[in-house]
Amino acid sequence: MKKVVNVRSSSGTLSLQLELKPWLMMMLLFCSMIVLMTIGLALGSTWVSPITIFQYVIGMDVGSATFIIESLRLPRMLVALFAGAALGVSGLILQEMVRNPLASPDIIGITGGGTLAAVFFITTLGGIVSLSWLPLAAMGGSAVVSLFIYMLAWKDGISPIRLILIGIGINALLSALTTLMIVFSPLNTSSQAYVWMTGSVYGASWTDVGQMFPWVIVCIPLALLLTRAMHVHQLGEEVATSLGARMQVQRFMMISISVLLAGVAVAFAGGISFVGLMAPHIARLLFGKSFAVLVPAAALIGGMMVFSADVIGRTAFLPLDVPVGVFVSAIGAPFFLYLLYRNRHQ
Amino acid sequence: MIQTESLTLGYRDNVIINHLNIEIPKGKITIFVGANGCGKSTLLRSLARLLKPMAGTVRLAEDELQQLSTKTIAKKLAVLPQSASSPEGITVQQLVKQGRYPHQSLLQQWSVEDEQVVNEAMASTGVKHLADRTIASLSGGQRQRAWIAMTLAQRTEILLLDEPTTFLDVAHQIEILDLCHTLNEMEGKTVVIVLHDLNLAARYADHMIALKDQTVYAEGKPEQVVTPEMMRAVFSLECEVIPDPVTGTPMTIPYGKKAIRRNDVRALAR
Repeated sequence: MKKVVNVRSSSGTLSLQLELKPWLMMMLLFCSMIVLMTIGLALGSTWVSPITIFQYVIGMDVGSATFIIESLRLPRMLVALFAGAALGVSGLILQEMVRNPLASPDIIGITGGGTLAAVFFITTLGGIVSLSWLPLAAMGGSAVVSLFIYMLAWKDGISPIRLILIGIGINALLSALTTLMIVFSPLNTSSQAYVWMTGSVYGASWTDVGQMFPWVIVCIPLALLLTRAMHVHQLGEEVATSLGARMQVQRFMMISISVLLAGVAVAFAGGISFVGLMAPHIARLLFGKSFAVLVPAAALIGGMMVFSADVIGRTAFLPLDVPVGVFVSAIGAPFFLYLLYRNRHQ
Repeated sequence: MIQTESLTLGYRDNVIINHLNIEIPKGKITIFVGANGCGKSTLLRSLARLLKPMAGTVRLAEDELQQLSTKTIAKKLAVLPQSASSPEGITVQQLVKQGRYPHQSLLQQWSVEDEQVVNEAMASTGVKHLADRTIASLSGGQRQRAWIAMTLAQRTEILLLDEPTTFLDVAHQIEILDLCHTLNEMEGKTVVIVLHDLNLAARYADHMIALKDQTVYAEGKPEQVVTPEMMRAVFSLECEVIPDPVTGTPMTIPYGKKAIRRNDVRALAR
C-alpha cells in the first residue's frame, strides 16, 4: 500500500499529491552521496582525513590540505557530479518521451554532435584558438546537430520513433567523421582528442564549475515542470491530445531540455557514454514510475556514477589518471546487471 | 451539439469523407455504422480534433473546433480512441487521474474537486474496488471501463467512443453499452459511438448515421435507418429486418450462402 500525502493550501490555489516512500528514499540516496563525496575527496595520492574535509567544509583553516581539496579534488568532483546529473536527466527525458528504454543522448547523436565539434576544435583549431573555447564549441555542436535531427524528423509534427531512428543514423555519420578527423591528425592531438572522446574531467577548474552550475540548476528543475505533460504523453499521442496536451510544444520543450543538459555535460566532461542510458534505468528500478521522483533520482544516480568513476580512475592506477569514461561503464554495468538480477527474483 | 459543414477528410490525396453535413443531437446517443473502411472512425476522430479536416469545419456548439485551444476542447468533449494503450504498471486510479489533466495547472495538481471527480468516475463505472490494480491485470471489460472512467473524469458534456466493444465478449459488450446508456440517462451526456454490431447499435441508439461512399447514406431513428435496402446498399448484404423480440428495435438477420441453401431445401420440402 502506497502512502501518499495531499498538499493543499486553504484557498485552493496550491494543491498536489506526493508519495512519501520515494522521497524518503531520495533523502537516503542524497546522504549516501554526501558520504561517497567525502570518501572521494579523502582518497588520492595524498590521504586527506574525512575530519579535515569536514573542517574545511565548515570553514576552518586546514593548512596545506586546502590546496588539495579546493584546487585539485573538489572542482573535479563537482564537474563530474554535474555532468553525470545532466546526462542522467537528459537520458530520462528521452526514454520517457519515446517510451523506449534504449534512448539516450549518446545513442541519438546529441553527444555525437558535441564530440565532432570538440574533436574538430582539438585537431584543427587546437594551436590557434584558446582551449577555453572548447566547451562552447562542443555545446554548439550538440545544439546544431540536435536541431538538424529535429528538422529531419519533422513531418506534420515530431514523431518520437522517427526522431530516434534519424538520430541513430546521424550518430553513425558523426562518429565516422570524428574517426576520420582523428586519423588525419598528428599523434599528440589525436591522443588528446581520444581522451576527450572517452570523457575526462582531468584538470577541471572552478571556472568550469561556475559555467556548468547555472545550466544544471535551471534545466533540472525545468525538467520537473514537465512531469504532468510527461505522464499524459505516456498514454499515447491520441489520448494525450484528447486530454488537452499541446503535444508538439511540449515535445519541443522536452527535447530542448534534454539537449541542453547533454550539451553541458559533453562540453565540460567530454563524450561520457552509458550514464544517459543507465542512470534512468537504475532510477526506475529503485524508485518506480513517477516522473517527478525519477528526475532527482536520475540526477543523483548519474552524478554519483560519474564522480565515483572518476575517483576510481584517478586513484586505482596511481600515478596514472584513467579517463572517467572508462570506469563509468566498469562500475555502472555490473551494478545495473545486479539490479536486473535482483528484480527478476522479486 | 456538434455540427459538420461540408467536412472533407482524408489522408494525403485519399479522400475518405467528402463534403459531409451532419448534426449530432444534444443529450442523445448517436451511433455511426457502416462497412469497414467507410470512414466512421475517421469521422469520429475529426469530431474530436484528432484529425485535421482537408476542407470544411466542425462546430462545437457555436464555436469552430479549429479556433478553440485543445485544452478548452478537452473540457467540453472527451474521446476514447480505439488505439488507447496504457503504460506498463499504471494502476486504475492513476489512469483515471489523468482525466483531470485539462482542469489542472502547475500549481493546482490535485484539488479536493479532482479527488471527488476521480472517485465518482470510478464509482459510476464500477471500477472503484479495482483502484489499486494495474490496468494490465484487468479483464477486457474492466479495462475498457477504467478507460471510460478516465474520460468521465474530464467532466465533459460530450463523450466520443471509437468501437468501445471490440475484442469484448457479448456480456461485456452489453455492459459497456449499458454504461453509455446510464451516462446518457442520468447525466444527460451526449454520446457518440462507432459500433460494428448493428443489432446492438439499433438497440442503444437514439440517432443512427449510416455512412457509405464518403457521405451519409441514411440517418435518423434506428427504425428509419436499419432497413433491407440500407443493408444492401451499405453492406452489400441481403437481410431480413425483423423487430428485436426483446426491445422491438430493428434486428437484422443476414441470409448468407448457408441460409439461402436451407431456404431452398425448405422450399423443396414444401
